[in-house]
Amino acid sequence: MINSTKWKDAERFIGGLKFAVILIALFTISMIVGTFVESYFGTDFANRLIYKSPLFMLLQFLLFLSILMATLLRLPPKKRLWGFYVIHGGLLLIGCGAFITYVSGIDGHVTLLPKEPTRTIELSEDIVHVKFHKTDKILTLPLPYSAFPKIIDHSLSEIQVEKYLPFSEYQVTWLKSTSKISKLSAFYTIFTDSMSEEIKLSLHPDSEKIESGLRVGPLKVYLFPKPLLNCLTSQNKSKLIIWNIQSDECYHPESKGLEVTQSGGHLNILKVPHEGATYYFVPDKSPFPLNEQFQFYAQAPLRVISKDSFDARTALYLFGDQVSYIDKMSKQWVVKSFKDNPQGIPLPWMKLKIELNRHSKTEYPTLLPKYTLPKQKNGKLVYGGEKSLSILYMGKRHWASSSNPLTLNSGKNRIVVSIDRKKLTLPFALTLDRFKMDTSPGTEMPSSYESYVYLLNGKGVTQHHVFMNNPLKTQDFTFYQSSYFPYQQGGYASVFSANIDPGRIFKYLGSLLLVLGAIWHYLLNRNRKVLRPANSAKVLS
Amino acid sequence: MKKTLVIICFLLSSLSVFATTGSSVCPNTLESIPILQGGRVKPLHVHAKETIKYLTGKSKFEKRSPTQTYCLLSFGTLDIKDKIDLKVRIEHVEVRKLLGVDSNNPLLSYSALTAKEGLIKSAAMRLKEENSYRKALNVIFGKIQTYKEIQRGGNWFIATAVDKAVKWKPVSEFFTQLKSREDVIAFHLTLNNSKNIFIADTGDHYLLELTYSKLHLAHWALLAVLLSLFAAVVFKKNHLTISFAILALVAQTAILVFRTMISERAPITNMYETVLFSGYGALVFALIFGHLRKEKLFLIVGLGYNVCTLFMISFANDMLPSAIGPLVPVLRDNFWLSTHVTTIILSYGALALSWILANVILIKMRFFSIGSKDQKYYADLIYACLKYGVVLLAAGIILGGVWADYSWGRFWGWDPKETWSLIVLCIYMAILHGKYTNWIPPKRFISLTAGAFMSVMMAWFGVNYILASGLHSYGFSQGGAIFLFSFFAVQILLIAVTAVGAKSAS
Repeated sequence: MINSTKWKDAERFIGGLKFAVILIALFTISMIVGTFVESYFGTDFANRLIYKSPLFMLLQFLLFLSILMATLLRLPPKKRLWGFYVIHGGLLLIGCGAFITYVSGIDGHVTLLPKEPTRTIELSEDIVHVKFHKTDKILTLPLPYSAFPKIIDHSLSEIQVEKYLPFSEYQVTWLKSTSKISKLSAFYTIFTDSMSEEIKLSLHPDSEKIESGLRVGPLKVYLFPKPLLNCLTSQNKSKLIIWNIQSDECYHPESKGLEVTQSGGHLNILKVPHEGATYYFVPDKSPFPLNEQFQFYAQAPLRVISKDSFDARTALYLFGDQVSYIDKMSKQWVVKSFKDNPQGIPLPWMKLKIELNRHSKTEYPTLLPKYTLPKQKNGKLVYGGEKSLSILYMGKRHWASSSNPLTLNSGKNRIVVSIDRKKLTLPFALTLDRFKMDTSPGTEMPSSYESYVYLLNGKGVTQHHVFMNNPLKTQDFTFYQSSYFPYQQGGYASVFSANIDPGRIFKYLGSLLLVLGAIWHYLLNRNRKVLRPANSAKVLS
Repeated sequence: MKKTLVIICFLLSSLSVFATTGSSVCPNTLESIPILQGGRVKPLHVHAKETIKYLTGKSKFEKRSPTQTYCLLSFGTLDIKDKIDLKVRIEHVEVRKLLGVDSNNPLLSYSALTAKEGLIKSAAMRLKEENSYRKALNVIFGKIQTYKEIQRGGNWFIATAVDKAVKWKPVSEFFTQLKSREDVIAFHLTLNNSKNIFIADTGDHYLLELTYSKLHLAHWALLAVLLSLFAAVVFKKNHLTISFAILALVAQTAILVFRTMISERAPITNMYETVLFSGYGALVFALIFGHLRKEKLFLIVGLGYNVCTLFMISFANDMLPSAIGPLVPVLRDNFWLSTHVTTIILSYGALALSWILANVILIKMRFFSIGSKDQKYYADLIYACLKYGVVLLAAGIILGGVWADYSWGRFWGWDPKETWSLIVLCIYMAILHGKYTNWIPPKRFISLTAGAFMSVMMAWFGVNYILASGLHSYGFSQGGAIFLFSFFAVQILLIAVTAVGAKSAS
């Protein structure tokens, strides 16, 4: 039993001015911090850290309690306090409305692709979605609404969901190579006086999202194993190189007495014996050997490369700490070493230079998501917007992210893990007939976004025109023109924000009472003004 | 006497020669040509004035009108003899170093600046962090692009008739026909014809902007309000003060009416207009409060704030550009625009009155003596402004919530502008609660009110200039951060100085 005096004391404290001012101060400080957090780290991060955090909600609840107690303490009603009652009653109604919206409201987005009926609302809650293709089973798990990494440790069948990163970015991580065969990986910087670009290359099979070749403007850049350098730059009659991609060894056919023969169809054929097997190559057609079905076989351990194919390319070949290219004038291979050019190796194209940042055969780089604080620039999230999840499957760790669903293959079982938004099915369908964006004359500045949609429900089909400040209202839902994006050859898809707000009426009524109450309060107290004292000092005398 | 007359005649004749030289190629009569720029049709004079001000910081160059300067610049690549080379002031120290500009003479001609375009671009690209140097380089780069665009004839579009409809063409399309100075003069016929085509199709409503631009109403309003303040403080003539104050209000009303008629929407869609409207609202409130309370101080304070706003819109053009621009789609609702934004800006006006009043009394308390009864009286005057400000602010926030619900689908979304409005309301509510229950004595109430206006400035300017995020992106601007930090510094210093060693109340 709570002592009634203590209860009264508690009521007085909660409804008291000091408690109210402390709460208002805390609420204000939280909001100030929130606006700066949003400015630097984006809206989603600010919502997760502050505005939709349990602490901030508790603060709002305490404010509600303080207002309620302050009102109850001033009962029975007194005439001079009518303004006070109406103001505080209005605030309580707004609080109730906000709570009803939070508990039973729906807030999401509908993406409308042209001419495709849509019944799905995408809500703001993140979920992990696991599809087992063998059994067509789908499992989902809600992800925590947190600003920082969260340990989940939850099993979805044979998948173990380990950790959730609400904000992450793929970053290069160098890992120790566990495979028996070591493969070369190297990072370089290509630069001029006014630009620079890091290029990341790897031959390691486990190096995810890092390729062995890429383009830098018009220039192609390839990473090759070092033994290949000698084979490429030394002369041989057939101009062919046999390359073992497992051991990275290479040799010329002539060195092992292998000869190119001609088939009946005048194709050059090279027969290469290797570890008890014989591989047949058609070097003019493909670097891969032919299999029994006379198809090129990409899984074979050997490749045959024709040196002629290098002549026509504008390309740079990298071999760890050495680079090579074909000189345009002499048509000869030029080989340069970083040891001899510590300031970077000058290249024969566009005053480019290249420097070596790192190379290794015992470690390999891979891109893995890492938690990061997001960054916002000009109102848009420019960094850290990836949501990632670490998954344990058959003893090995994998990563799924919002932009890269994870596909796991084990025998005939294919499992796809994706991070998705919770979805809701509408009781009707919306179809975008046409999206129209007008611009201000002579500019690219949008002046209006408009969607012409068909609404299909049990009563039939109706046409609606939705644009800014003109939403579509149907069956408790309200759809607002929110965004758009280009979709297929000059067309546009439209995005509507969609919601049901059962607390709206309370918020509107509360707002009205708040303003009316404030006016009433000042009217009731209008005669309480302080008169100028006799012989008072004038401020501007 | 005769000699003097001869000299005057000589000077006048040389001036007229100079005028004809400039005006024959680019006469001032071109100022009414309708041109399409930035999504709007406006008279050439208005666009020329805005552009030359953007490029040089001043709307006139070497005593030439904006139209003449802009026109000569547009035809500058042709053989017209009257060449001009605009100059820009290089403000940033590091940019000066980069461009080799002497700090004693920081003006650099655009011909010299365009030659260094590559240097500016590569310097900006090398900077990885977004700092003031990079921003300054980007601003200069933007000015070079505008300058080059004008020289290419691609900065203004004129009306032509194609299949009985108006089609806008850049002036550069006519450049191939313009070989000599005489061709350019003959081109005036095409320009005048474009005016006739546009007026026949759309009417001459656009000429209203020419009249507005040439009336310089903001300067007249500033003069009237300064005279009113002078009459109040120096001559202490009430009638004269009120007369000039009303004249200032008439001039400002005319600005607002002109801008409403030109843009066909409420004149509160950019920082220039909100600053103007808050000063206007504050002066109206000051006249009403002063009349109701029989207190002249309100009017003086209102005039003081009005002077500040008029100075800002007249001289802080980088921070508050006066150009009327097209609206972003979400703002294209005259009802909500003229209710929500108007209410919020009026509340800022009322709160600004309380802020100036509080500072004036703080200074008086620090350096002179004010009795406790007087303190209570002046605190009550501040309270009178506050209560109007707070009610209007609460109403404005709620109207904003209803509009947001109507156009974005939610009543409240913790957008920075919304949140800062709520922060301002919370701060003032806390002060009012304290005052109402006598928890905050009059002296502290005055200091708190002076300080609380910093939250208004943060909500009003800070969200646009410092935070620059959220859905209210139509209000984003650049260049106001220094102003805002200076304002905060001065206000905090004033509160600190007045708090330390204030003369005790008698």
